[in-house]
Amino acid sequence: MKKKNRIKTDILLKVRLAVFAMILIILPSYVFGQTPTALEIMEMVDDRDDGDRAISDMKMLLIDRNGSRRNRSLRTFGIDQGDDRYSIMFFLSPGDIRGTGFMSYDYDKEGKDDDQWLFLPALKKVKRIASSDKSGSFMGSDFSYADLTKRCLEDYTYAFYKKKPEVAVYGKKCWVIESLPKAPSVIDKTGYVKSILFVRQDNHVIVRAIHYLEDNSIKYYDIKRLARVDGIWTALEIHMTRKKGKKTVHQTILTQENVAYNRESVNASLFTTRYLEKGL
Amino acid sequence: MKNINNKCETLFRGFTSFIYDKKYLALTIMLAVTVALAGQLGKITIDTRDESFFHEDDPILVAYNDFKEKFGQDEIFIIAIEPEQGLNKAFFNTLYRLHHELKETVPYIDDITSLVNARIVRGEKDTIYVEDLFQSPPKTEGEVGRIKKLIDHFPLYENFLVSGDRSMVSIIIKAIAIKGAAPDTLMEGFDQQEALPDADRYLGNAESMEMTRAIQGVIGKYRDLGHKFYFTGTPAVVSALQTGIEKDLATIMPLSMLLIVFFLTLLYRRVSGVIFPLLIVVLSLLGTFGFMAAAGFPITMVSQILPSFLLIVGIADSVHILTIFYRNYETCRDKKQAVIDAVGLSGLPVLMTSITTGCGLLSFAWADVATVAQLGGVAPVGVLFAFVYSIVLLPALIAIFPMKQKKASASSSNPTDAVFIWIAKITTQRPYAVTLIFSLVVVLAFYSALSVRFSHNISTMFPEDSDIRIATERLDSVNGGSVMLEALVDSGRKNGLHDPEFLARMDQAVSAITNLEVAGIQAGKTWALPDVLKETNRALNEDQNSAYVVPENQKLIAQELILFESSGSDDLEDFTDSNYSVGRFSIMAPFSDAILYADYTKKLTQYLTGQFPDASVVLTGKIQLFSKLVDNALSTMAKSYCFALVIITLLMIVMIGHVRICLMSMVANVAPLICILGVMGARGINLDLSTMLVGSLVLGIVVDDTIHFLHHFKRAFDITQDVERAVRETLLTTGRALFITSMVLCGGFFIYMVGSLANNVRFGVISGTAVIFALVADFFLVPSLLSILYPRKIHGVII
Repeated sequence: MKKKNRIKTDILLKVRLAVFAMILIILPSYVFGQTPTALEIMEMVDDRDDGDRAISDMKMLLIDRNGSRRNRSLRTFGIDQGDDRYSIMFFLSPGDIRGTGFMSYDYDKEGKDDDQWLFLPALKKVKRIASSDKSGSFMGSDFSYADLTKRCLEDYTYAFYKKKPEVAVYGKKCWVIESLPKAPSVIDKTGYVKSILFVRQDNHVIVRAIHYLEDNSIKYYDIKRLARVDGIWTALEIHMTRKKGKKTVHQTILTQENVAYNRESVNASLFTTRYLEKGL
Repeated sequence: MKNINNKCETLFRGFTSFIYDKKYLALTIMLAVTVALAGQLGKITIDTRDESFFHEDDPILVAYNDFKEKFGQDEIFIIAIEPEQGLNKAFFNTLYRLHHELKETVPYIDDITSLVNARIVRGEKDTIYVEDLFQSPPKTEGEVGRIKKLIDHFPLYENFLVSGDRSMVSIIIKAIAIKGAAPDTLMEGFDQQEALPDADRYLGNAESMEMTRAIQGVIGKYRDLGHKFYFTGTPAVVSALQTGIEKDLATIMPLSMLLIVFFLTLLYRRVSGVIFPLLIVVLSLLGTFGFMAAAGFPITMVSQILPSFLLIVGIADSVHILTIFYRNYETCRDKKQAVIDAVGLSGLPVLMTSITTGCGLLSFAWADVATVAQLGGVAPVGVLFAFVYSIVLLPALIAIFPMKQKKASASSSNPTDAVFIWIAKITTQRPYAVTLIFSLVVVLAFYSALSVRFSHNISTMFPEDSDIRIATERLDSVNGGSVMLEALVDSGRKNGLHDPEFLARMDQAVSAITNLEVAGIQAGKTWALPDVLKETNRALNEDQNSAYVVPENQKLIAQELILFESSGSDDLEDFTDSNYSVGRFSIMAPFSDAILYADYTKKLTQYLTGQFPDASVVLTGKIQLFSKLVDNALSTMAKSYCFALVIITLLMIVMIGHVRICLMSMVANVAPLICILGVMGARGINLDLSTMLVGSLVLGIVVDDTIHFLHHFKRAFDITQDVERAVRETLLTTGRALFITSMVLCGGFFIYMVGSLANNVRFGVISGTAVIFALVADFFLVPSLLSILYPRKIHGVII
């Protein structure tokens, strides 16, 4: 009995020690009022619930350097499939491109290229697009495919921005994190040689970002409207401005309306080439 | 008139006396002014860009800058490589490494394109591949074969990234059009407020030079591999031009100095006679260039003549004063009195000649060619500085430094005297015959001058064996060009380029422009939106060649363009604006003469206007700048020649005080200019941006000789009342000085012939010869005309 009790005591001691070690090692230091590391912050960003079975109406306002404006509107759907993310979208306007559909499978697995399909109603054909390059423009906007897909944490190194590790953005405290691609292939894929990310401390949303491009231009990502939709922090208005020096080259204002999550109608059957061809 | 002359003489005497007494103060002030101005020299820049020829508000430059704001840079650096053993695995590996090293090393790159990253859109069954031609260097012969096959499949890259015969491959580097300082603070970039336009926001010489050096540094590492490298493109030419100017300045300036030292030694045989004038011109030159830097005028292809020009013109002021000073000093042995007398006597003619030279140069100030106008703004200041430095510093230096006194040389008869006496005799005894001969020569020269045309071809300014010229000519012969012309066709409506009919016309135009040949100029390559549409359409139709056409369905066009916009390409602005209302034709043509470009662009505009009657057509780009330069140069010449002629004639009338004599003297000064134009016509030499200056510039200088001649003639005639004796006296005294100063001028101009740039050589030859012609006119025509006018009209009357 005594032996049993001793064993029990030993196990309890071990468990306590392990818990203590966990507290010391694993629990982020911010529990004690200290700042987590830059990587830990990015892990929190990555772990944040960004919603599933989503539906929204997206409007893109494209403004060129001369102030000319173009409007494009799309209906988008998104679903999580394990660690992968599927999305499908259809142009609603302008008239000439209404019904043009785009579908992508964004794979989490490192090294696996995303799958993309395009449907052109005038051609009545679905075409798979094979491209490993995510740096190109998304539908003529200032967003690249890389901006719209989750970044692979392992591809970058993270550090606090030395000059100013913390700033307030729209009155909310943010960590400022500098991220650098680990390999040239990452730069080739995204086009970004460096990024400075502003992560809100209360909800771990990247509310602003500065992306430095290979051609010396800089992209400024700025969430102008952020709100909780179905309990999920959602960017309802994003401005992406591409500048060369201090001069704006192009700007895209992306707004989302009628956002909803966890819709039953958004299921796996939507994310097929058949549905892409069928359209809305 | 005589009264004014006397008053001026008294003024100059009083001023010189004051300077002589306050020598240290005068020297300190002048040195302080020079140091203050020279302190600005660090700011001086060189500008050899083609844009530098245009005023900021010139509609052509405004259109060009507007184009750059909308569509980005049109200029390209071209690195062309002739593989030693054709397009094989080893070469593709080299190309891959070179492409990436350039991309990583060269600053200000906006875009670098070669076969390595050439965008390939192709279709296979239900898949469209959007990829670079080779993601990694080919490892097998099979991959090499695949790449070669793809190259053949994309005509868009032919004669651009690869030559038609596959013997040459090019890497195209496009610099950023607008340099921009990074935002000052982290958050500043998020501001929506636009930065105010900055005047020098466009990429300039310094950046082109930086890029050129970086590119040459990278190419240098690959030269040992056996491939032949060529490096050209308009920004590379701009850099080569700057290097040429720097090289020529480094050669011409010291030689001009040596020439001056040689002549001064020959003339005075005194240390002070060499050091003083040299010190004065060097200080005035420092002052002038300091002013130039402070005023923001760069050294350009035109103003590069200024340093040595001011040296030789400025030295004349000192020479005129010193010559009289030494003569006085040898006789009166009083340094102060000698210098007061010298400045008193020559101050007015030196001032008058400075004003006429200054006015000749000022005639450029209103030029339509901006670089010429800048010369007109700076050069008169330089001439004025030379005058001020001469009349202030010369007396001060003479007062400060001890000077040996030489015995007054006994007047001995000089072998040249006989020549001057003969000239005096022949021109006064046979004035009509001499005038008739001159008239005949001038008429013949005028006839010959009518064939002189304007010409501007930067590529031929370089020596035939220079790398840049070899590269440019090679590119022109293999790929059909390296200079860009941009034609913008504005449909006037949003999504106008979605119209299949409009696009079909654009497609026809691409072929028609490529086949258009005017004055020997034919584009090597033309591309426009239909080219990428055809590629996309073919890819969407399983790569069938029959689908290499512009779709006829408006919706399909719009949808294919969405694919183009979304296919990993930021190239939309290479073809159209964001509203698809303006179509852009990019035309690559060979380097040629600007005057031929003018013919070419005229025909092209005619064609495009006919092809697109429903759209507005604007031509811009480098070739358009060159072709409009012709108009600007011709109007510049007309304006500056008229201004110089009128203002100098008026000045002469004011200075000499007699209309007929002045008009006569102007005839004698214009005659050599017509003669030099006649020689140019006979020798087939065309006017260029440097030689076009010769007329006004030389007129401003050669009238100085006439002023000195008439000044002394008048004095001699007052005493002798005999034209022949007065001419003889003038020739024996002033004539000798004129001969020497003309030789200095002539030598100074001929020194330009050692320059590496052809325009410098031509400028030197033409200007030097013009000075000789002017001297001949002053020695023969002026006395003859005086002989004709004096006895009949104003014999015995003091002019």
